[in-house]
Amino acid sequence: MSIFLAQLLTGLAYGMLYFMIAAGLTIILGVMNVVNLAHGTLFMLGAYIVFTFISDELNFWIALLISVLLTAVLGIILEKLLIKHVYGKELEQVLLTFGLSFIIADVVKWIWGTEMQTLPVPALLDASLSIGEMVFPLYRLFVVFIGCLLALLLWYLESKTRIGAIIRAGVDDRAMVGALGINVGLVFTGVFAFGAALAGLSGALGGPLIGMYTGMDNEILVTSLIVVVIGGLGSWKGSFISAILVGVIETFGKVWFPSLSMLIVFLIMMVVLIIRPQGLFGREVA
Amino acid sequence: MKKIFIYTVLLILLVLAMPLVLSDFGINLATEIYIMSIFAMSLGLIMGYAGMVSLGHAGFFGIGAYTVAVIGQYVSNSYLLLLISVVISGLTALITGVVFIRTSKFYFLMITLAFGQLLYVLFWQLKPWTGGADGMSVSAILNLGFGEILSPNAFYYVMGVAFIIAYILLRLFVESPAGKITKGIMENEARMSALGYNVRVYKLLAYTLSGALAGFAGSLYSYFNVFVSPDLSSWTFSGQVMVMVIIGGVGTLFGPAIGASVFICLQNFISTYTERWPMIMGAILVILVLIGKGGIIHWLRYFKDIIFLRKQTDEGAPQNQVKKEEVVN
Amino acid sequence: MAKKKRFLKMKIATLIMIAVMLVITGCSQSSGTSVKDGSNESKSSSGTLKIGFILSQTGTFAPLSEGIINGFKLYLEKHDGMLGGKKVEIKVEDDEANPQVALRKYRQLIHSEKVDILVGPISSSVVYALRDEVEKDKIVLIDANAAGDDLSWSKKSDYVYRISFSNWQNGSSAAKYLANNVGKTAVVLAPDYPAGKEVLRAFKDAFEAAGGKVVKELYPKLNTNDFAPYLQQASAENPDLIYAFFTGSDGIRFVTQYKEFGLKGQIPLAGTLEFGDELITQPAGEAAEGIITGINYSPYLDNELNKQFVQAYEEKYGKLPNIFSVQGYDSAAIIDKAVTEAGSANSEDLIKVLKGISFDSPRGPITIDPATNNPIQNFYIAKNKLKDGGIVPEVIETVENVTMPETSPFE
Repeated sequence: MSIFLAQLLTGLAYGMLYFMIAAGLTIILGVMNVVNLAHGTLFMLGAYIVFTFISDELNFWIALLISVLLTAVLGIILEKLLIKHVYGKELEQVLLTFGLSFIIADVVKWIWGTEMQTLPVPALLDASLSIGEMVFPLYRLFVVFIGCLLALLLWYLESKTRIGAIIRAGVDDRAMVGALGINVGLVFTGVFAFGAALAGLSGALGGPLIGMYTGMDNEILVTSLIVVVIGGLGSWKGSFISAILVGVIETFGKVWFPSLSMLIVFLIMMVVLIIRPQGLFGREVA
Repeated sequence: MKKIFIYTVLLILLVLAMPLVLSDFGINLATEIYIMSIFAMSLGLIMGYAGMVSLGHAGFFGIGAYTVAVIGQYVSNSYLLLLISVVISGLTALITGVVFIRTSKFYFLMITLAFGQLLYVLFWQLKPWTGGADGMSVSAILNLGFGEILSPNAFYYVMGVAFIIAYILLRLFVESPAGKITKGIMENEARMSALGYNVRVYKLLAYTLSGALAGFAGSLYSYFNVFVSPDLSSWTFSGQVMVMVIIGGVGTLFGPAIGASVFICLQNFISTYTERWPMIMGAILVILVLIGKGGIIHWLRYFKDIIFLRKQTDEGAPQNQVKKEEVVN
Repeated sequence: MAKKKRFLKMKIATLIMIAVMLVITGCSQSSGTSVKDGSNESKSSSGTLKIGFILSQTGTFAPLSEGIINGFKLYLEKHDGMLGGKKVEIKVEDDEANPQVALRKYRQLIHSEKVDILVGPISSSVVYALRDEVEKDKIVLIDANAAGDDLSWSKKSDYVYRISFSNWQNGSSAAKYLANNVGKTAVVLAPDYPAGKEVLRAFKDAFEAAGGKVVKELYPKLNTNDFAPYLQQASAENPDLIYAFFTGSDGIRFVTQYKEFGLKGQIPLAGTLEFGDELITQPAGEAAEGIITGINYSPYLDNELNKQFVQAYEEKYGKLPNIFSVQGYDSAAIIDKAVTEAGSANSEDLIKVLKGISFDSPRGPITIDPATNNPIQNFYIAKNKLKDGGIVPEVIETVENVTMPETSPFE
């Protein structure tokens, strides 16, 4: 029984990590209808920025803050310079963000080299909890906590603030928001920056768990795309549920069907899409 | 029909003329480009004429390639083997298509991604038959009834011919009533549905044809490379082909072929000169988007227009008339 | 008008054709003149030796490739850019760890660059793909990393010589010591891909021959972010030790999570040479302490050549060398010796001397076993110790001349 509980907890923690990784992507997709294929690369960049500042003897949390800020700024620059040219043009978006991910990944490789790195767990959280017979790292519980906090924040922003109202309206009817005299361009820049910052944040927090290495950006991207699609496009709530679902099923799948471990996430996605072609919480598409 | 004829003649001339100017390696590369062009055209068909963007198309390519590699150990007749490849990949497309086309746009993209990944893992796990992740050597030798095809030049001509045949077939499909209806569905699904067309059947038809053609390309590749590995079905390969189609020009038949040649040349030669090739490749993609003509083929048409229009003005023909025709085409 | 329309179409088509032709001819032109004979002699007449590398510079294998190139260049630098008395020119190609790309690059290196000798690849699938081609074209390939066992057994070729180590060597080297000194029951883990399976079968074979018992085998997928479910299963078996083979970022994650989930200090962890290599121990840090490994190289190995090598490497690159740097260095060393002994860079002459060739490496003495074309080399049983904040593998005993069996013991 205790091993079952341990694995459930493991799956939950893993799912929350998935949620953090996918949150930025799903928000950009939901509000702006842009598939940001550079999302995984921004994640990687976030982790590396923390790595640099920690090496300079800075506190983990300050480094994390710097990383979030820098990725947000990069988000603003990218949106203003490039992304804004491709709104509504899906194939161009694919090409552009794909190209960007190539460039950023190569810059990362240039600056930080090819060696694998890992972020140290912040000293405050570098301990393991003993629950009965099992041992559970405190840092993972912290990730669960941050994941919940992020969900709460998103819920609050969406339903209780003016920005949330504008964005919800924007998702439903772009032209109307513009007609109301709201600067849609500014909103979009803000949303993209927010999404990029979330990628940076999850990179910083995921760094101690996943580590950093060349080629990681693609894996992160595919994972987050899958989480987003299972949840349904444009619904962060869907992503939240689907991330937990994927985390838990994957963890148990590894134990019960070890030979399928390469496939589990893809199978979940396939099954969900066959039953519900628009994802769990996606709106019916015409 | 005349148009097809002219295109064909030009294509044949091109294929015939190339070895005159190419080095050994150039011929090898051109051969590979022909195969990749068939593959890119197959994806271009569903992307440009049916509005379905797939990120798992390498799955069909892999099926074709592995069919030749695995069944080729027991069957030596090349025609039969090619036919089996096409049939298996076409059938797979038909069966999976029934389920997949219920999803649309981005969901379609992702479910096909999962499909490609499924095949990737299948080739990876079925070690006794496929050699697993280590891949396997292909023992089948291409023989079309006039001797075994082994030299680079022979391969070059065979693949060139295959490319032309694939092009003609696709052109015929696109010009056929079914092809026009499919395109109509892409442009306005609701209207075509209201007109009484069974939307799904036409989408499925295009998807099956495309899958079969991708499998054909894969089987040729198997003969050419004499080695297959699960990477043939990886999503990165699917992604690359998608990029080929987009940079070549979506919505045209020949665009993807141009995209394939440009992409492969770039991929091959930039990385020879600099380790920083991903950066340059990325920059090229970004620049292509910013120029914003929607693919190299449209670009070429644009330049052609400039040249052609000048001539027209000299002749005193009204410019807008020509433009209008261009649009109609 | 209809006529004009057709005329227009033709022009479009012609233009496109010309463009495509230009692109393709441009490509082939830029890569050298078209010489139609591919014979071996004509290439090296000028006294230069052209060496082509097929490595994986992008993706997860990038650090391995970098190590190999660095090591190779260091050797060249120490020998005034000459190998076997010939001025060396190198050409590096990126295979993206994909056999398809590798074959294309191979054709370019052979037909267009006309290289004399190939050094490469990182991944075993690529080496199996290249194997048939080098055999056909009669080009010598020095395998600087790919560890697939079959390259020495069923897929052995007279033209392919491995300089690194095989999965069999890596898996079996420490097994006897572990069974005799650490414990008799083991849970073993490796990624679910050929190398993982090959390493573990070699370990199991040797471990059980020495009286041990493998109680559970676990195969997580390649690039597993979360080893927790596997660690939980492994510790539930209560084995005497856990033996694992993980490379790259998988290895770092495995080692750190082993500590995080409280297994470190509870169940002894042992592993392949990767767990004693700088590439993993440096980022994993303290978590890697206490792991028992069977290594074939460490920058702390006590021999004169290694001391010089480490000093020169640190001076040039500002970091310690790892096993891959040594593999690069040794690739240069073997080419140097072979070309000198053969008196030419002709493939047929080279393969006569490559079989059974021996030379000194920072690893210790190396001999290419003519029965397997695989290096006979020493392995060292070592325990990772924490020293000045870094991990140092402390050698406990030396397993001399680890030699692969001539044919596969698993068939």
